Amino acid sequence: MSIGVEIRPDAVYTEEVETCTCVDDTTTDTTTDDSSADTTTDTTTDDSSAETTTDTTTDDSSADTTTDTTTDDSSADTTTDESSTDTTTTDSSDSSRRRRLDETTSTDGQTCTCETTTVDVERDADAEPTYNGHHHATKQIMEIAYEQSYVREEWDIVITNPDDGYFTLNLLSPPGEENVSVTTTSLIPVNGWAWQVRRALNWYYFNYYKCWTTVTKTMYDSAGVETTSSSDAVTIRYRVSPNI
Amino acid sequence: MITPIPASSGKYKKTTSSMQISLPSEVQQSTPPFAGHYTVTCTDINGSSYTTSPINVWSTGLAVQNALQKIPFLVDNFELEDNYDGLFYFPQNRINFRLHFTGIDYQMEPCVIASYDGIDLDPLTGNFDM
Repeated sequence: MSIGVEIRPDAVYTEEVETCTCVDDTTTDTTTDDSSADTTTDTTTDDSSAETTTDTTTDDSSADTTTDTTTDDSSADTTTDESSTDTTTTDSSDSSRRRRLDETTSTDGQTCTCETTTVDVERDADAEPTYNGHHHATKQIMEIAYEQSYVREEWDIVITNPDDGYFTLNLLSPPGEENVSVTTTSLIPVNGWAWQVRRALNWYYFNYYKCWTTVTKTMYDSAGVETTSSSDAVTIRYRVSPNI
Repeated sequence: MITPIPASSGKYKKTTSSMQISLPSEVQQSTPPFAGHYTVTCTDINGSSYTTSPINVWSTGLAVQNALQKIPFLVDNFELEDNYDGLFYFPQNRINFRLHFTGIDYQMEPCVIASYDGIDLDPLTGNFDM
């Protein structure tokens, strides 16, 4: 089973696109003076109510005038102040797109209507594998793994009629070792804890296999039923599983 | 071979309990480890794929790094780290490493490990019933 995990940069970013259309000023009555009144007219169309709302706001530094006018769309009667210079249109039906219309008069006698569209772009990481990042950006880290369904070896130490004595284990060196030898563990209490068996075996396993072990202890009463009482235990089973 | 021996030492009492060892052949034997060879395939910005020479499962991260360094667009552009964890110390049980592309400033497609499919060396074998 092959696993590929990678860390990618932010997948969402914003783009702005501006498009301007200029016409001869002789057909337009609108003039602009940035140093004086800076008036904004916001026109919002609500599709659900089929109404058009016009907000006219005048900067405080000049004439302080605010007008909210709501008209029925069917009458197509939209009121706009003559001094208004900027028109912003918001399409509420799509929150990811914001469109702004800026109408300005250039010095050569032309009125330009510029449309700025802001779009949230979600990058499809799979569709854009050749994205070019900044050379100082965090570099990609990839973890690659190939694994199998691994079942660990298990073996048992079964003790019948446990008492309060101790025992050791003699372990023969693994096949393939140059010198055959026997490793004798430290003393292990018959009715001890699982970790005491584990501690006694770990030296052997780390020496030959570079691993530790997992040991579980299970006790059974005279009827062969699992029990948690040491005094009722007739049989104790230590199950050893090397972590290899 | 494992032999339990009743033992005593100083104040520690020799047990009189009977003991028996059940070997893995009677309880549970482990899965055979990986064997054979594998390759790593990486794709560059132009979509061209490059595959390493076969890598033995016994190989360490250094051998994998050497194999990857022969891929033209990766030369001196990455660092490799063995990613062993406590449960899979040996690569024969789990091949796992981390690539840090220190010299590449674009998003690469994930590199892929695959069994070697040549005829001169053994393919990768293991228990893939996952």
